[in-house]
Amino acid sequence: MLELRSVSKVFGELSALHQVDLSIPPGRVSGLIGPNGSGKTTLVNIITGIYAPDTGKILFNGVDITGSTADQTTRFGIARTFQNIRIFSRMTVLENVLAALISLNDQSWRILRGYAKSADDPQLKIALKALETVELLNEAGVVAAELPLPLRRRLEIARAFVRDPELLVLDEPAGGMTPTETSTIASLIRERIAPGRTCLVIEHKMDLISDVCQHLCVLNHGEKIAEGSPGNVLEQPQVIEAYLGRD
Amino acid sequence: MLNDYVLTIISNIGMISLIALSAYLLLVTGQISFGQQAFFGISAYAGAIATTLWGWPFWLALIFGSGLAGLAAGLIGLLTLRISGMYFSIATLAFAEMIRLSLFKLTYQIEIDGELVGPNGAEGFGEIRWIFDHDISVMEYTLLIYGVLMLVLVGMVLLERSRLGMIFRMLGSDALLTRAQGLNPVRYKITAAVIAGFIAGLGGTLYAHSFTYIEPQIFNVMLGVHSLAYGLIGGLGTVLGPLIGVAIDIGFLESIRIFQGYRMIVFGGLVAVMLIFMPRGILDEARVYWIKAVARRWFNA
Repeated sequence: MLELRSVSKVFGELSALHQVDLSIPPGRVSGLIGPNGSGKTTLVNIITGIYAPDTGKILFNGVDITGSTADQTTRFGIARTFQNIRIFSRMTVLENVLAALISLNDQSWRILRGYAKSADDPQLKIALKALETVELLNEAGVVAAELPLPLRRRLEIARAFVRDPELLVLDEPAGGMTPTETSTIASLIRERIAPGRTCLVIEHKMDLISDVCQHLCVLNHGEKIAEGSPGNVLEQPQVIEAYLGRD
Repeated sequence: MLNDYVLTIISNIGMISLIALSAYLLLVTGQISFGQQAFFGISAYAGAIATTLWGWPFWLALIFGSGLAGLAAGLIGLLTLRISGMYFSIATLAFAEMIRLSLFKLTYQIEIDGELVGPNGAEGFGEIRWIFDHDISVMEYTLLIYGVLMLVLVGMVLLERSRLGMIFRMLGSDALLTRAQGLNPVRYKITAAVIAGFIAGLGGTLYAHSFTYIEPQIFNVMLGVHSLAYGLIGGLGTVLGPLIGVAIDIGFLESIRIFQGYRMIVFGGLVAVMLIFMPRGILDEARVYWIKAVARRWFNA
C-alpha cells in the first residue's frame, strides 16, 4: 500500500526525520505514535504532499509519489484530517463534505454546474451517507463554525473518507477531547470508519491506539525506534524509555 | 420624473458596482486586491479608443476593453501567484500604480474631422463622443449600464451556486485545505482574477463613454480602496453585498448635502466601525444562511 524508504527532512538546523522506513499494510489500521517533537506530523505532511522530503522515496501502490503536491496525493487516493482542525468554517456541515467531492468533477465543464441541488444528485447522496456514518446528519444545515469540537472532529473525518480514499490518514482524531469523547471517537473509527479500509492513525492517547490499531510504528527524535503489533511494540524498552524517560 | 443629476448618481452607482463586484469576487477567494482600478482604467482607455479612434460598435468595444482587462488581470495573477496576504495586496497596488503611471505616458492620437483625438498623456482623453454621435440620452445610457449590471449579477449568482463558486469560497476559507481536497488553487486563483478583471473592465468602458473624458488620475488607488470597502461594508455572503456598499457610499453619503465635504471622513469611519463589529460586512455568510433558512421556512409554511 504505502511505503517510505529512507525518508529524511531537515528544517534549518533541525533534523525532523532521519532515514525513516515505514510500511503501511493494506486493509488494516496502522498507528503512528511518538512523544511531542518526534516527527509524526512532519511524516504525515510528507505523506500527504504538504512537504517534500529532502531525501528518500514514497511509494503508493508501487507508484513513486515522492514530491507530489497535496492536491496530487489526494487524487492518488490519500485523504487526511488535521491535528489542528481545519474546516471550511463559514460553510455548512453538508457543504464541507460536498467540498471533498468537487474535485471529482473539476476537469470538465461540469465545474460550472450547480452543486448537489436536487435530492437525487449522486454526490449529495454520498455526502449525506457520510454524515449519517459519523452521526452528523441532523447538523447538515448548521454552519460548521458553530459545531463544538467533538463534532468538528467528526466532520473532518466525514470529509476525509467521503471520497472513499485508498489510504485514510487521521491526525490526532481525539486531540483536545475528554476521555469519554475519546472513547466515543475510538468506537466510531473502529466500528464505522476502519472496516475494509486502510488507515493511518497518529495519536498520543494509548487507549485509542490500543483500541483501533492492528499495527504500530513509533518515532522518537525523527527516527523509527519500533514497529509491529501494539501489544509487542508498547512493551519494548526503547518505547517505554521514549515516553517515560530513563530511571 | 428623474432629473439628470439623479440619473447621473444612479448610473454612477451602476458603473462603480461593477468594480465593487470585481473586488468582491477576489475577496471571496481570500485575496485582498488594491489594484482593480487598473483593470477599470485599462478597459476605459481601450474601449474608448475602439469606439472613438477605430469606429468600432460599442458592444464590440465593451467586450474588447473588458477582455483586455481580464487578460491583464490574468497576467498579474500569474506574477503574484506565490504571494498571499499583505504581500499580495501590496503587489496589486504596485501593479495598479505602474499601469496608472504608464497611462500618463500614453499618447495615441488620430486626426478626425481636422482635430487630433485620442489619449494624450496627462491631458487625458476627451472627445469620447459615442453617446452624442448616437443620440443616446442619459436615461437610455443608464438603462444600458443597468442592463450590463443585471447580466453580471445573474452570471455571478449562477457562479455562486456552481461548483466553481463553491471552490472560490473554499479558497477564501482555507487555501491549504482546498488543496487537500484535490484542487489546485493556482488554477482557480487565476480564473477568479480573469473574471474579476473582466467585470472591472465592463465598468471601465461604460465609465469612459458616460463621462466622455478620462484621465489617468481617475484610476488612482482611492478607487481601488473604495471598491474593496464596498464589499466589506455590504457583506461577503452574497453578491448583493457590494451593491449595498456602493448604494451607501454613492447613493447616500455622496448625494446627501449634509455630508458634503465630510464624505470621506464619514466613509472612512464607517469602514473602521464595520471592520470592528462586522468584519465580513452587513450580509456576511452567517446572516445569508439565516435569511435563507427563514425564507425557506416561510415558503414551506
